[in-house]
Amino acid sequence: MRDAAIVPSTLMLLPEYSSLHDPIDELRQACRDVVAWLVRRHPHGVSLATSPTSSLNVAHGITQAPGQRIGRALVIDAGGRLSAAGPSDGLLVVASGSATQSLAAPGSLDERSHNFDDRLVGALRNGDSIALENLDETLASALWCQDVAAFRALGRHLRSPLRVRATYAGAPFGVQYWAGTWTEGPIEVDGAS
Amino acid sequence: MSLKFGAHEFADDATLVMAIVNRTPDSFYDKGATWAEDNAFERVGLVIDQGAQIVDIGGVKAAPGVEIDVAEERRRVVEFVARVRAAFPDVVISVDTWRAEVARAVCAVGADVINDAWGGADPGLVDVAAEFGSGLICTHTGGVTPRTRPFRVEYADVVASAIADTTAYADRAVRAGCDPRGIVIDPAHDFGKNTIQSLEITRRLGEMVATGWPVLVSLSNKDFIGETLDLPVGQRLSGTLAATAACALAGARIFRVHEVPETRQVVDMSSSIAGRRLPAKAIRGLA
Repeated sequence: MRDAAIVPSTLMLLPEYSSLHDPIDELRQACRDVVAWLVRRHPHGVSLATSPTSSLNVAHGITQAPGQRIGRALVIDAGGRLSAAGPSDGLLVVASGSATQSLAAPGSLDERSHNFDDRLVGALRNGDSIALENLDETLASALWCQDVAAFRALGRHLRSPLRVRATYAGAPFGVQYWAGTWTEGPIEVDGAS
Repeated sequence: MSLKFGAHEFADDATLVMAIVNRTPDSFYDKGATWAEDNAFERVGLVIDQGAQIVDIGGVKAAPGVEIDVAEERRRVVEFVARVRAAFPDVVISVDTWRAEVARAVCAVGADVINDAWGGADPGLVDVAAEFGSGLICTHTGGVTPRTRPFRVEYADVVASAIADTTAYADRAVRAGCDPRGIVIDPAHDFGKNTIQSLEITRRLGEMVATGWPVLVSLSNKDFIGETLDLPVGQRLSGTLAATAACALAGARIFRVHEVPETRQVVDMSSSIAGRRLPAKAIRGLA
């Protein structure tokens, strides 16, 4: 049975960038919940859908994409494992939307970001694989969304009909974050769902 | 290494305070306090009285915002530099610009140093510095575009990157004909860096000092201090001075700041603790 979960690609989810007071405590808990849900349903391993390391960071000697590190850390923290035998039916997507939602956002304000993120959240809520696979890469880049590859991988993974559950949506730093799940099967009734 | 900026020379154990003078309406700390030219001119006089050896005049704020083209940047700084040069012949005038065209204009009216806060984004800047015999601040930004905030920038080793980039820039300036005594390297806290990385740069600043190039630090009221202490702009002086002390102990030579007297005291105290400066008056127990 195909399932997927999404967490943001913010580096704040990595232990090496921890703060004394967690600036994303609500988001972090939502991420833990959706990953725990995915790990429970796929105890033999989950796959990761992430975007490649930026060329700037490659030039700085970074060899592993941050999404891979974020996904691995969350899966291991949840007691799960990454799939060693090819793609799993359980996919963890590490991706964020635009980073231009406010003047204080990393990319400052670009008014187009709200429409971009609204359309993206529509595609996520509807499990619209076609919309995800056809994301406008040029616009995404202009809006500092670095995760088109991960969203497209999600689009390829999803098949209708789906049950979709969003557990977090927000842009506390002008960057659009989501946490949520998709499943072809019935939703579990527990704290994570 | 002794320092030489234009006609101004400093001994090899001198520590210098560089006072920020913004000709901008929207910089993050002063929020336009010296946007009016007369206000900026008054500040120059004030910071010189307070002990600053260098004034750093900037016409474009570092953060994203309204596009300031070359013509507008020139309008903001060139005549002002000429006015400061005429009134204060003994102060070192630095201009914070990444544009060669602006650098050429300010050097022509008496600027002594080009503070290239965006790390060589305009490759023609070194040629201007060489042509006019001006000093050059070689900063590390990790390759980010001028006037952008860092976004998920990572380094295998941020200090190694800062050393490699700034010393390569310094070497390029020497090859272009710049006087090595006027070349300074700057790790550029917050530029192309998150708070964790700026803290690491501070902690390991001695590695930059060990390159032999004079090191400038620009710490004043920056976000890495605000995030470390969870304090907004306006409440970061203590944190700034703590970071200043750490950098002074490590051997930084130039301190780019908003608050001059406080910085001077911290740098002098730190230098004396490090054994690089004699006490002003050592009398206690010696009489």
